[in-house]
Amino acid sequence: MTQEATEIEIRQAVEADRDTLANLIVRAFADVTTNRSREEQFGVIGGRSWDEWEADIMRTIDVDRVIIAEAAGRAVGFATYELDDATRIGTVSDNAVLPEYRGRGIGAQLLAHVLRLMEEAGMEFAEVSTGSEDPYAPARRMYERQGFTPYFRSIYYMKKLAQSTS
Amino acid sequence: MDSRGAAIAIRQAVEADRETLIELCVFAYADVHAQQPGELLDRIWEEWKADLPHVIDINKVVIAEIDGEAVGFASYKIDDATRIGMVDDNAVLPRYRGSGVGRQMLVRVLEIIEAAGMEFAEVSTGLEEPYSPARRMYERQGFEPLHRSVTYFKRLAQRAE
Repeated sequence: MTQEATEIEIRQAVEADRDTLANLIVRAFADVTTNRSREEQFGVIGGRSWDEWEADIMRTIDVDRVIIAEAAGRAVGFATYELDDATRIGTVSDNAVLPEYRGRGIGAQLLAHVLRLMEEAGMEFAEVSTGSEDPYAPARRMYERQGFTPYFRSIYYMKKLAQSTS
Repeated sequence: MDSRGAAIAIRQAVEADRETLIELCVFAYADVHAQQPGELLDRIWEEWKADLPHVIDINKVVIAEIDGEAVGFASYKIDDATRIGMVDDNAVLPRYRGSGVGRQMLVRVLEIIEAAGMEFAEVSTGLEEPYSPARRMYERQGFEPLHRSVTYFKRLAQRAE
């Protein structure tokens, strides 16, 4: 397979995709998930490993707000989003592409598709957050190329509490 | 007014406090917001300021009082699945800063989420200068940096109505 020749099709996710999506998010996020880095730093959270938390996202998400990228009929990437009719701000939520399919514009195609859906839904702005660390540099470049401007930088902290007797 | 040495009382918020929360949000966040001008931020700020006191779960808010006057608030969330308690919006009126009000509210919130069975506490704040006192406060209370993020905005093309 040559990278240039990959034909990508973007489609709306449906209920039957949940298992596929759960599998996809675990594999596509393995190197870039805060759930995993949190576990590495603080240990297992809530008795479940990071991949179970990731899979959980796709078992409960509104599939109407998920799109899937397919290459030769195989799901290789996804993007999720939210709409807010009050603020008219659409939020690009989780999105990722399988490692072996990166670097050929699939993420950019997913993003462009989500932005079109937001415009059609009457949103005035799109918002997205990503990491400041190295693994997220390709994501930041993608957002900046598609006209996103950084406006807020933040830091997340965690603290282990004293164990209450249980 | 010098609030140093004044007795700070931290109490649970009740429904009747919503108006007070609106005032606290406006006055406690205004100067932080003023340091980040921009049309979009103005819009988000207005929306946030208008919505927060109404949508907030009043049972998960504590209020700091000095001589019976509300001078700060702190809100939190609990998640029984992850057992991570989230320290949410919290602020102190500008003239009462530097006297430990924020720290006392944080300590109380940590006690509450711990008593609720939470195993961890999480919080996020800004990386810009106006947020450096907040970062110092969290670090002094034993919070460890987890990750840093950047939030982007883009104006979408307006569709014909």
